[in-house]
Amino acid sequence: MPMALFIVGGCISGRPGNSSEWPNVVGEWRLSGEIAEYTPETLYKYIDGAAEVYRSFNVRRVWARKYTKNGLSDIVVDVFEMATAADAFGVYRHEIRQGEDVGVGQESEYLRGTLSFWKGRFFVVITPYDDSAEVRETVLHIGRFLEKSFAEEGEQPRMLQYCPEEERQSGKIRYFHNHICLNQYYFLSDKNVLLLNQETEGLVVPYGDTENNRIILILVKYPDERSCSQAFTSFLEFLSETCLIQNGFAIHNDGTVTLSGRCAEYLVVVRNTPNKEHMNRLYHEVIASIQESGTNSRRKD
Amino acid sequence: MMYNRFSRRSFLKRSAGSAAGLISFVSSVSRADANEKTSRVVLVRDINVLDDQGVVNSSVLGRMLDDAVIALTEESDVSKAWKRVVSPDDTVGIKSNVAGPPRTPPELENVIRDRVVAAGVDPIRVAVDDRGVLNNPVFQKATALINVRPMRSHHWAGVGSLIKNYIMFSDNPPSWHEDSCANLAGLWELPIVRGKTRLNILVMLTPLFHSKGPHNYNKAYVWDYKGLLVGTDPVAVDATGLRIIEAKRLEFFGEYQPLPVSPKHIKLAETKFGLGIADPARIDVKKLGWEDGLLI
Repeated sequence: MPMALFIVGGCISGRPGNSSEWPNVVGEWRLSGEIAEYTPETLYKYIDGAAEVYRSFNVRRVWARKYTKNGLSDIVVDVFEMATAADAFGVYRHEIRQGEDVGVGQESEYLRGTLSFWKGRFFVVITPYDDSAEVRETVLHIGRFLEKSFAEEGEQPRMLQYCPEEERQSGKIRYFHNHICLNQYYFLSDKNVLLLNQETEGLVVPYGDTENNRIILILVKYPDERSCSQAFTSFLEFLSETCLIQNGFAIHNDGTVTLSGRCAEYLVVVRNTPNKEHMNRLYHEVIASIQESGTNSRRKD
Repeated sequence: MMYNRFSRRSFLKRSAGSAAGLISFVSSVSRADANEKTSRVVLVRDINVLDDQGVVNSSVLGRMLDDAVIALTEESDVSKAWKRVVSPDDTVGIKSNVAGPPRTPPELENVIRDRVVAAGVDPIRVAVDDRGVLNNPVFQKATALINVRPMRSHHWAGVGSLIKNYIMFSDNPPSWHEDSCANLAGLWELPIVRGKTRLNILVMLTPLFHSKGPHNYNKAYVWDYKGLLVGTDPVAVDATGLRIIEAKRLEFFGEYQPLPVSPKHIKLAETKFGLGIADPARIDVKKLGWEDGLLI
C-alpha cells in the first residue's frame, strides 16, 4: 500500500545545480548540506574509479546531494548531465539491469533500494544504503520530483534506426564510444582493433532470443569515411591474424563467424552464429538501411 | 623473502642480517625466481564476526587477525607473531580504505593499531589514513606499512583490492586508470611505498561481487562471507580474493559471468612488475575457522 509522503520546497526548471531545484523535505527525510558539483576533471575525487565510466559517456557535470533522517543511513542523490541523450541512454544501459521498472524517466530500475533512471540528457541514481518500504517510497518521490524537472525527453542513439527491429532484443542494446566499454558488452580483442575513441559512436545489438540463434550486431559510426576506412583495415588485419577467411566470412577458432563491411562512415560487424544465411540477411539489411538514409554510401569490403 | 613460505628455520636464515627479524618485503623478483617460489595466504573465517544486523564483533575480529598472523609467521603466540610484523623502532602507517561501502571496518583499524602498539611502537608513530596519506606526517616518515581494505568489484579495474589500495599514494590517481588500471602494481614502486609493506589484509567480511551505480554498491551484490585474507604478498592475497569473487558470481548468476572489466592488473603485477605471485597453483592458501560456503 503506498505511503503518504509530503514534499516541501523545490521548484521545477531543469537546473539541478541550483539548490532551489531540490525538495527540502520528503516525508521525514531532510535535505542536508550544500550541493556538491563536479566536472569530468574533478569527478574522481567523488567517485574514484567509477568516474571513468561517466567520462566514457561524456559527462559534463555532476550534482550530488544527501537526504538524512535520524538513525538511518543517508540517501545519496547523484544527477549526471551528459553531453547528449544518447550518452544518458548509454550510461544507463552500461550496467546489467535486473531490477523492477518503476516508470520513472524514459527507463528506470529499482533494485534493493537504489533507483536509476535517465531522461533527456540526464542520468540519475538515488542510493540509499538501507532498504525498506519507507526508503522505497522516499526514493521514488525524490526520483519523480527530479524527473519532472527534466522537461524534455531525449532520443535514443539515432543510428539505432539502421538496426532492423525483427528479433531485436531492444532491452539489451548497449551504446559505447571506446573499446573498453565495447569489451564489457562484447569482447573482441584486448587491442583497440576498431580504432575507437570518444569521437566514435557504437551500438551492440543482440538478435535472437536464445543462445543458439543469437547474432550480435556491432555498428560503429566514425567521424568521417577516412577514419572508418582506417578502422576497417585495422579490423581486417585482426581477423586475418586470428581467423580462417572463407567466402568473405571470418571463421574463428571457437566456430563462431564474423561478417563485416563498411558503408560510408559506418562499420558493420555481424557475429556469432553458424547460420551464415541469417547473418548475411541482417548484414545487408543494415547496409541497405544506411544507404537509404541518404548517406550516398556504398559497401566497400 | 616474502614469496617463500614462512618456515621459522628458513625465515631466520633469510633474516640473519636483520637485527629485529622482521618480515622482510622485496618489491621485485626475477621471473626465473618467481617461477620457483610460492606465497602463503591465510584465509580465516568466523561465523560470529558479524551479528544479524551486520555489526562487527571486535573481539572475534581481533582473534581472527591474530590467528592469521600466527599462521603466517608460524610463531607460537600472538605477541611474537606481531613482533615479526613491526619493531619498536618503526613508524607505522596503516593504509585503510573509506571509499566504500563496504569500507575498512573501523573496528579492524583499531585492532591493528592496538596490535602495533602492543608490539612496542610508540602510539605517536602510528597512524591510520586513506585519502590523506600524502599529507600525513606519519606516512611521510613511515618505515612500515600495513595495507588493509575490503574486497570490492570495481567499474574500471575489475576489482578494487590490495594492489589498488595504494593509489592514494599517487599525486595523480586518475593517471593510473589507463587501460582498465593495468599498471596499478607500478604504484608499489613509488618512493613513499617501496619496500615498506609488512602485512596485507584483504577484508572479506561482506565482499562486493558485482558493481552497480556511481557508488559501486548495491545490497543485492554483497554477502556475509565473514573472512579475512592475510599475507605478505599483495598479489597472492588479491588473486585469492578474486577466486572467491568469481566463484560467488558463478553461484549467484547461475552461469559463468565474467567481471565486466578484466582485473588484469593482478596478473600483470606478477608478469610485468614482479610484485608477487598471481598463479593460484603457486599460492598456498591456509584455511582457518568456519568452513561453510568457503567457495575455494
